[in-house]
Formats: sequence, C-alpha cells, structure tokens
Amino acid sequence: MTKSWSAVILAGGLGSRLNPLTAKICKPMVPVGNKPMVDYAIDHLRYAGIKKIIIVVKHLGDKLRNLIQTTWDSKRLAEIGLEVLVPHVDSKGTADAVRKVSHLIDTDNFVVSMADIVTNLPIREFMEFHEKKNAQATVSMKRIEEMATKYGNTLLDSESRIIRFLEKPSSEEIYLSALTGGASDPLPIINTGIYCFKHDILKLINSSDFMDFGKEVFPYLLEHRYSLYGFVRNYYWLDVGNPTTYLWSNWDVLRLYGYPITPYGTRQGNEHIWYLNNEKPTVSHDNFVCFGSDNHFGDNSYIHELSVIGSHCQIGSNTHISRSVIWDNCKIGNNVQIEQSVIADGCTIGDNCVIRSNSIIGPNATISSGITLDAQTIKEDSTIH
Amino acid sequence: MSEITNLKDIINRGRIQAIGNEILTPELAAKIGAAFGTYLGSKGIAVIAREYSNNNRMLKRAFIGGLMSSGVDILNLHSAPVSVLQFSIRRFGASAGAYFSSVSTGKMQNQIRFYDSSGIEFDIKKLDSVNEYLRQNKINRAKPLDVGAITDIPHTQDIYRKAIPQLVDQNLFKNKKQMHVVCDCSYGPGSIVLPGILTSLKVDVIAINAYENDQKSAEMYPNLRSIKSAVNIVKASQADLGVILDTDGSRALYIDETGKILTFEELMMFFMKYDPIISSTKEQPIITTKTASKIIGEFAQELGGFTLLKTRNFPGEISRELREQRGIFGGADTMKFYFPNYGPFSDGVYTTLKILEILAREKIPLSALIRSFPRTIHSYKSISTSYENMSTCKESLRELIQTQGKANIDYQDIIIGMKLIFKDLGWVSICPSMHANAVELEAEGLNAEKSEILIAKAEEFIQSII
Repeated sequence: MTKSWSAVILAGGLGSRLNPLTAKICKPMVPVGNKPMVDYAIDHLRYAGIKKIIIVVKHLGDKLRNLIQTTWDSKRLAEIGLEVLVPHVDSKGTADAVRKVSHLIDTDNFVVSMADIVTNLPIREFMEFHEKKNAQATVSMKRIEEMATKYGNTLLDSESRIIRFLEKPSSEEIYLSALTGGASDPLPIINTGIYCFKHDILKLINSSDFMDFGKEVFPYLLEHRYSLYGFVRNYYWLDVGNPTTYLWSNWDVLRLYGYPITPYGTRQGNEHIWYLNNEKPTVSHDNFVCFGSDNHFGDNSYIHELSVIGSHCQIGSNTHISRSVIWDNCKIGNNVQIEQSVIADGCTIGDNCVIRSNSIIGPNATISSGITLDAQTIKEDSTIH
Repeated sequence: MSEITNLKDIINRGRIQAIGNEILTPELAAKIGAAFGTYLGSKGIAVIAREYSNNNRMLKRAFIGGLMSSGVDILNLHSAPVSVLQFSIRRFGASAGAYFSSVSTGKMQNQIRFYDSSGIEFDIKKLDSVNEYLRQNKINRAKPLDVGAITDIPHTQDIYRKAIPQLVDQNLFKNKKQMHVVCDCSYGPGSIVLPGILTSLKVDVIAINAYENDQKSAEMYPNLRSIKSAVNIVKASQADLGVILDTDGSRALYIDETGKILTFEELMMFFMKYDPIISSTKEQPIITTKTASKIIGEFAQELGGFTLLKTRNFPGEISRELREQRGIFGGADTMKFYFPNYGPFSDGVYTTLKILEILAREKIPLSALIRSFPRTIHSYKSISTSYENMSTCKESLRELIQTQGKANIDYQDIIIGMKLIFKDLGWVSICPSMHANAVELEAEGLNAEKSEILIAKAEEFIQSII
C-alpha cells in the first residue's frame, strides 16, 4: 500500500511565538529531546513506510536545508531506502508550497505534514482510512482541550464526512455549531494539520490560485462536494506554540508519549535515558533524561528527571538541573540551580545563579554570577548583570 | 468597613471570599470585573456563571459590568454548576471564566473564582496579577464602541447533558438491570443536569432538594440534617447509590446501598482498582494531596506499578499537576476526583457516572466492592454531644482556627466534616456520627503515638467549642 504514497513536509514556520528561542533558527530546527522538530516529522512518515519525502523550507531555508542534508546524508538515506528532497522553491502558503513541488509528487496518494508539531498520530491507520473511504482529501483531527478558537474547527457526520469548517471560529460560533450538530461532542474537533490527498487534487491546486489549505482549498472542496473526510482519533499531539508547551514537549518525548518518536541517542535498556553516540555522561542523573555528546561536568552536579542536556556543554560543580532543557554549547558555572527553564545555544551562566519557573534564556545570552531569574525571558545576545 | 482596595484583604486560601453586600459589594465586584478584564486583555472572552441566590446574582451582574467595560466579550451561562462552566470554557474555546458561589460557612459569605482557558482555577500568582490591576487602579477601559459584548448561551446545559454520557460506556447502563440512585442536589444548580443525565442513561432517580430554594434561610447545604435524610432515603428505597452534591456541583458525598458514606480513601481505591482505564495505565502517575492517607500509597503498591505523586491542596493545584505530569487520575481529600480523559477538574456529575459505570460493569453492590479495601492505622474516638453541637461543629472549628490563628494547623473541608492537619504530627478528621449524637474523631499520625496526640488535641478543640 505505502508504495503508492509519498509525502510533503511543510517546514516554513518562523516560530515567532517561541521567541527568543527562534531568534537565530527557524521553528523546524528547534530541538525537542536533542532532535530538531523537522526530524520528528521525517521519522513519523518513514515509520509509516513512506519512501519519498519532499520538504518545503522557507524562513532561514538554507540553514534548515543544510541541517536536513547533514542529518539525512546520502549514505544514511541509501541504508534506509528513503528519498528526501529539499527543493529550492519560494512558497506563499501551504497550498502554494504543494503546488510548487507538485511535479515531484508521483504517487497515487500523498501526505502533507508539518514540521512544527510533535505527534504520534497513527499515520498508517490514517492513510488506510483515506484509501478505504476513497476520499479525495482526509484531514487529521482530534478533540482539543482548550483554546479551540485558535484552530480550525470541524463538524463531521456519522460517516466521518466533513460537513462544515470553521476557520479559527469565535466562541459564539462554536456554541452555535454545537447546537446545529455535534452537541454530543464533549470537546471541539480541530484540524491537527496533517492531510492525505489523492494525486488528482494537484490538478485543482495547479489550476487555481489557492494559497492556503485551511482557508481556501478545504472550503472549496466542501462547497463543491468533493469527498472530504475527517480522521478523528485520540493521539498525542502538541502544538509547540510557546515556551511553556515547548518544555512540555520535551518532557513528553522523554516520557515516550510520542512513541515511536523518541529523543536522539541510544536508549539505555528499558529506562527513559538516552545518550547520544552511546556516550555515558560523567554526571549522576535520574531517569527521564537525555544527553548529547562531548559534555563536561564538575563534581557533585546532578541532572534531575525531565531534563535534556545538549552537546558540547560545560557544566560546573554542585550544579543541579531539573525539568529543564539546555541546548548546545552552553557554559554553566558552579552552584547553579536551573529548574523548569530553557537555556538556548551558546549561553553562559555564571556561578551561584538560580534560574527557575519557566525562565527562557535566548541564544548567546550571558547571565552574570549570583543572578536569580524567576519566570523571566532573556533576549538573545543580551547580558544580565 | 472601609472600601477594599487590595484583594489580599479578602483572599482566603487562594480565593476571593467575603460577606456578600457588606464587604463584597456590587461596587467592588464591578472593580474586580474590570481588573479581571484588564488581566485578560480586550480580545478575551470569558464564560460567567453562578450558583443560585440573589447575592450571587447581584455580584455577577455587577462584575459583568466591570468586565465588559474592559472590552472583554462574555458568554453568560446564568445559573450552572461550576463544572458546567469549566466544561463550557473548553467546549467553546473561551479564554477564561468566573464563577460566583456561596461559601459553606453559614455567614453568607460569597466567593469569586477565576478559571483559565483549560478550565483550571487560577493559582495565587494569577490572582495576584489581577489584584495588582485593582490595587494600582490600572484598569484598561475600552472605548465606547469597543465595550465587550454579552451573549447568552442558554442551551449549554443541553450540550453538557448530551456530551458527558459519551465519556462512559453507555451500553453498560442499557444492558444491566436498572440502577436506582438517590440524588440530593443541595438546592444547587447541579439539579439542572444530574437527574436528567441519569434518567437519559435509564437510571431510576429519586431527586431531592432539586430546585432553586428562594427561602431567605442562612442554612447551608449539604448539612447534617440533609445528609442524614439522604442516608435514610437510600436505605429505605434500597437504592444502589446515594449522591449528595455540594452546592457548586464540583464534588459530592457518596452513600453505598447500606447507608454508609464512603470515605475519600475508599473512593480513591475504588477507582484505582475497578476503573479499567486507570488500572491499566500504570505508566502515568496518580496525583493526590499531601494530606491524603498513606493507605492510598500502600494500596497503589499492592496493586503494583502505580506512581503516586502528592501535591498541596490549593485551588487548581491537582489540575495543574495532572497536566504537567500527564497524570491518569487525581483525587483530593476534599472529595474531589479528577479524570483527565474528561477534563483536568473535578465534576461531581462525572464522578457519579464513573461510579455507576463501575457498578454496572462489576454487577456487585458498592459495599461489597469496597469491603476488602485495607484500612489505615487510625486512632479513633467518639465524643457524645448534642445534635445542635454536631450541626455547628464544622463551622465552629473553622472559625476557631481562622480567628485564633492557630499556628501549625491547617484544615480541609471534607463536606461532612473537617480534616485538621497538624504540622509534624499528621491529620485528624472530625465528623458528626450518622448513628448517634456524637462527633467522631479519626486520626492518622506519622506514627501510632502521634495518632494518640492528634486525638487528644482534637478532643481539646471539640471541648472548647461545645
């Protein structure tokens, strides 16, 4: 079945809501469990048996292209029998991105996925559902627990056929839609941003000026009675939209809630511990942690659970890191306490600092010794005395 | 009393609480509404609801005026259980909510609770942020054309009534012989939803105190008299289950078919053992309060594989911990139970359905299902007293601790009575007896000796108030 499938990953996200973490990289490059989010999207598709993946980049596209081509080099791709293409195109929207790479899509069906979500949507089941329904388009969906007004909402009939789209509706619209159908749904159903299409749909996209799937293509398909279905399941899906959900995504990946998607590195037995290059760190640590490589730790430091340590970091003595994410090339002093916070690439943290309660330190920032940061966001390249 | 300019003067245990129309006046409610609106920002949309009583109605209307003035749009739910408000915030994608209710102190206190976009009650930090806008009088007033809109959502109770049964196995109810439930709604808005939902599931319901009581009575519900009545009706009608909802509907007391009121610990163990989702999802932790009996931890170990995490019992704490830790189930010794597959908050209606679902599946009476549960090492004492003293004991204790500022003592309202927590000793629950004119003390100390000390201390308290 999967021979008739290929996939397009839309990796153009800027990630402005993740600032300052995205001050120097784009959102698909943001690491979750030491693994860039774009790699989660690639793994997700290849684990479903898809052999050809086209990635459309935009913001900081060259940087992202280099990262993808370094991670997924020709030797590795040949070993796993995967084709990854990162064409040079300039797109102006989700549908436009697919239009620009449509000549590369040569399978009966294709998946369109995003590079800025962490999910374990059962994609093989999703594709089978699409084929079974003989749908022209199928949209992945789930019941959302909060802020449904931020997403595209959908109403389905009893056969899972989509009967209405509400693009970022108001609360009043959701209320009224619940009265006209779907009153028994305990939570609103939203579009989670992964689509299956028949190849035929490309004719429509190529012959139109549609730029966006949610705002233009799907409403058109609905209005013109195309066979359009919703695939609703209860799966892990996290829109890594802000620094708090970013922290959660790291914790969830360490807990294996996104399984089979896992952090980078070799898992240590049945523990939730990953070492990159199987390099055991010289520091005591709990379960639910992952480490990059080439790190140096001082005496009596400790890495507590739900923490991620990148690569090439120097961490001093008597330093405790808990429920936090440290990116690469960071230098952290002695007697430092870091709790529930994120430290981006290349930061320097002086001795005796306390960083806690969702503090976010942008890349290349310097925090002088003795500073306490409580729920603060520090911009990239800044110095705090 | 002088006008309140700092909410810290009336924030008690993480909630705004004060005597309605005396301290918590409509003028103050309007200011709080405007401060809350400023905190949300003019693009916010808030769901507002209340318990019955004119006090709550008055305060809610004044609050809405202030909230609209800050440009926030409002979905007006009128009277509803707090869990319907929390459901609505999530169901309609609102950014926040506020709920007006009475405090069960018998002193006509009202309280205002705020909820975030996931239906979780504000923590003290967020409440402080709202307070700062009020204290510094930094209210953002909208321009005349940008004043917030108000929309009635009258059919929300219908949406809730249809949605909640989807979260239990309805076939179990249809296929089993009809169950009988006594449902005391304590004159609260839970009466709008619970009896109807149970009836839709083919459960035979005897509903009591299930209407809006507009009598000018200071009597709070549930109280000793109403609880005893419900127990008697359960026994007399041979019901499978008795439910006594708290007035806001977020929690309840549960009575087995023999007339025994189930303890928090029994209910925790009941769900851990018999709920198929909880019992089979051991990789996700169970969250409970620090003051929960240690028997729950021992039972979790006995069942094997459960991780039990404890947090303090403060508004929204268990909900936040459940979300952060991705917990599978939660319970607070204030008789609140949390099922994250439904929502990160406690709902007396949903908890009732979960109990009935298990009864339908197991086909064994509730008393038999809990009979084998272990009991903790308690010290126990019964103190004879008058019926009147039994009725007022709970409130007198609360007043004693609050007014006299008893150091190192905390308390939890467990509906039927109080749980006093003594630092470095343990806890003692003080509840009126259902069978005699007496107050029953049960203590769980850090060790047996401390249990005896707890009983002695509690007895001292009781003697000072009766």
